[in-house]
Amino acid sequence: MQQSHRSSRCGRAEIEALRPYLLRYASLELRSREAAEDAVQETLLAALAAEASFAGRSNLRTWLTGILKHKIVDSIRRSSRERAFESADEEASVEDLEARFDETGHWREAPQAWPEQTLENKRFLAALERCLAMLPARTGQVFLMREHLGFETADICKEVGITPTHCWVLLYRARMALRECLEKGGFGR
Amino acid sequence: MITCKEASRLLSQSMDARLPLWQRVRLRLHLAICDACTNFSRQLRLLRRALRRLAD
Repeated sequence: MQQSHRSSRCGRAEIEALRPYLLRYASLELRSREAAEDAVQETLLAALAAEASFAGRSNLRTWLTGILKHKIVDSIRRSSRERAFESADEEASVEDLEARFDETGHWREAPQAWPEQTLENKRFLAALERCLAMLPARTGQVFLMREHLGFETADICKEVGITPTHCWVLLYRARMALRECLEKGGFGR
Repeated sequence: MITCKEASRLLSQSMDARLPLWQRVRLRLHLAICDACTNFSRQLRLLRRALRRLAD
């Protein structure tokens, strides 16, 4: 069979080569390996179908990541409809958070100054991933939609089907839990 | 003067939306005298930068 004349700049192999990166990206966001694999699979199929429209407009990885973000949101939207909140941890009340403060509203354990070079620390990033995995599912999802995918809170509320107040609380709780988890892991000392 | 409890909640909210002026002022005044909340505020910004980095 004669080789077809290729006019597009990205081929199947180049797209395939980015699968591990995309899977890692999706896995961070979607707790189940299966859901992450599905989202990546849908992304690759969509990418191959739309290959011509890519036409070198941007970096291939950036383009694929853009498609993947949509697939991740689709997946979150589907699972939000099916699943109730996991536990009391995910409720809109801030009671549990208030336990971090004494009667006068002061921190029981004051947050520490994290060194500037923390971001360059591979162990910090690894610990961060572990701490993220420990957040209640929905809390982690909302937090990652905000900080990783970069959505505005109004859009998150809509996709996940929660009120803005609930959204603020989940974000607040996620941040509080993450910084505590990281400090317990020895960062900031 | 707001407490650390309120300040921490406002700091988290300020990562997602622009706070009304009066709240920003109250937060500023609190941060000027509170190291713990200043650290907390820096931690939130560092978490954001770290999360962006995790994507790559």
